[in-house]
Amino acid sequence: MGKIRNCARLALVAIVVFMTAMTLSCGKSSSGRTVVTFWQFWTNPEVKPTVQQMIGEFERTHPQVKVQLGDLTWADGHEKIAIALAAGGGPDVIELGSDWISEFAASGKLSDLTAATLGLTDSLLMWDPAIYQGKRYAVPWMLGTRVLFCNRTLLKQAGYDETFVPKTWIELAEAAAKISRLGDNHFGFGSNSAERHRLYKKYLPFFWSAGGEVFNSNMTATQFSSDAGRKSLEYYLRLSANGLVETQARIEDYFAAGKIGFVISGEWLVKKLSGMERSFDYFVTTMPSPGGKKPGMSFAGGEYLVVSSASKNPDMAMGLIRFLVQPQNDTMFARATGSFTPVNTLSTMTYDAELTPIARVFQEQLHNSRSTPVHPAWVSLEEVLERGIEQALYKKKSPEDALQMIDNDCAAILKKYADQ
Amino acid sequence: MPTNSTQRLRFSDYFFLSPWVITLILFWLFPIVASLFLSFTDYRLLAGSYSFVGFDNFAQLLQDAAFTKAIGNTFIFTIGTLPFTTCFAILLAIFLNGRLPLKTFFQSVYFFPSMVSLVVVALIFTSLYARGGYIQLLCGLVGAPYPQEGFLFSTATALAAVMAMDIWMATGYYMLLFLAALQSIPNELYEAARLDGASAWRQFRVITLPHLKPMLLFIVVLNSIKSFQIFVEVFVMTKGGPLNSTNTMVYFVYEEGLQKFNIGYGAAAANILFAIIAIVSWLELKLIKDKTA
Repeated sequence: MGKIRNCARLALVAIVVFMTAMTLSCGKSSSGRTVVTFWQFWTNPEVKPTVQQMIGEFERTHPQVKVQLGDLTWADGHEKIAIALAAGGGPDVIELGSDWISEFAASGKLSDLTAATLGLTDSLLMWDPAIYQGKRYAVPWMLGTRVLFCNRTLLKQAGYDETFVPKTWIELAEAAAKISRLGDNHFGFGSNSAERHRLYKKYLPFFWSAGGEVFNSNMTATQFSSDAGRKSLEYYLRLSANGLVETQARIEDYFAAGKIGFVISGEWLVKKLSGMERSFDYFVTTMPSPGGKKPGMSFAGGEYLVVSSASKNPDMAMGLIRFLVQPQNDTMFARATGSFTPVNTLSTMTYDAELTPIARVFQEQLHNSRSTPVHPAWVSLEEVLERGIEQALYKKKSPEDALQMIDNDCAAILKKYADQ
Repeated sequence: MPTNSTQRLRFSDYFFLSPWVITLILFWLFPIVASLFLSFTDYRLLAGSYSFVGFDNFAQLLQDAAFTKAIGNTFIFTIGTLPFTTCFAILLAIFLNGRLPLKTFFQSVYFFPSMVSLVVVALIFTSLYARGGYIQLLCGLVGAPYPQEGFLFSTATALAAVMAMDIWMATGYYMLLFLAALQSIPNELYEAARLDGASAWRQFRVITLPHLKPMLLFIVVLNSIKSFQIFVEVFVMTKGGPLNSTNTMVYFVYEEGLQKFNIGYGAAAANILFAIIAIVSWLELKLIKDKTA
């Protein structure tokens, strides 16, 4: 029995020593280098090696720093980041979706990077989502916008000539209707529904193109029940009536199979289409607008780099961010991700003489794109918006009633947020 | 000396038990108590602050249409799957308990869906249920009506489609449990019944069913708890849509707690779910035990 007790004591001592050693070593690697932890979402084998290559180069040029990479997934990354930050720990540098920044900034979990990013503001694009209450909390790392993908073969079958490009809402709706009348399981337009976090990204571009603004001037109410809201929702319903209502992934599969006339999508669809055998021709164009005089608005998504306010090495963390957005790294990263819209205006891809026509469309659209409105309660507001649009799509409410319901429910959320 | 020896023995016992006890306290008891505490607060995860709101979360939940819809859907799911899963499992077990060629093959085939990852099965069924998918094709061949937009995009069929997949997947597992119970029934009982001229139905009613009751009780309670906690299927296939028609209680808790970080509100919903499961399990135990007695 004495032996067992001795073993037990020994084990306890070992555990305590191990935990103490772990605690003391936080922020320092075994080789004495400063450890900077970096959580990011690029886990696919086409991009991850590029991220690792950039990190390797950073460590080579900063021998005193060791970067620990942590992988996240879009399915549960938001929860993991929130829980890590709420616990007061977490990584030094984190990649965030553009619509999460204000949420984390409002709760004081992100470092104010206003001063640290002074030298970057002119060279990097799309700062709006990074700014909360006048302070910059994030640095843009990767940008993407959506354009209109059009099936030329189906358009020809529907009676349009080789040069037709839909520039106005009416042209798009009429062409979609004609394609859907081809029958044989063909659809005019790919419409999202019953898919959280995506539907609003399809509706908002039409809302913005119609002149709508999500919030009133003091951000106490949303303005979806305006003329712009009604016009854009009615138009989206019209397109959906001649379309396939499905998840984004399946809509893109249908487009790749040559079954859909028009789809709103991003660079990833170009990559998908170029890597497969196709029985149809397609082209991309900027989003149509109500009048057609200038391109319609699109939704710009982006991934941003932030520094945790709990970071023990904020300077090193910011050093890593500066390194990642340098023109040569930005170019390499954009090529790996298949992005046509590098974040750094000095990136060689931005003025590459060999830019494809498709890349030019994406770059033109980026200048007519907006990102998620900045509000810490956006995740809740977005859900209300999507539920309202669903009510109208499933004909449970008229567009006017659905939009009024959205505004009322959003007002309750905004009031609750203001009261906290 | 005996006292000292006993004390030493106790120390080592506690030591070797400690991993389990610590796990129980840290990962089971503490979260339960913390969840109960949080349900009376407006705890905000990121801010890390809270204030007591009494029963406000519970009162608000009862007025929340999404929550009442989630409760309704969860009950429909449980009531709609449990009898089918149990009956199919019993029938398959009886079928496989008889003299049958390729018995082991059939046992493996029926059990196979339970071994596949639920996420994988849910993704496969999402594809089968889609517009132009194989199930629509099958319906077309036999002349059965089907929703044009796909089974998971129709408010009338989305929940039923998830339920059907769950029945298909769970039946094999419960079948195996019933099969184990059937094989423990002494064969002499059936021989004596046959000598007395008992029909197959009477043998099933007076011998098989009473002997299966302990297993039946276990399976009904286990299956109903699992059904009340349905989450993965909804998360992968529908995200609660369309129009909340597949929103269930655990999915509601997940959305509130981990998507919107309304921790107090989500905890209150989780505690209501806990109470419902406890009451239903107690009722099931009482009902089946009373009938057995």
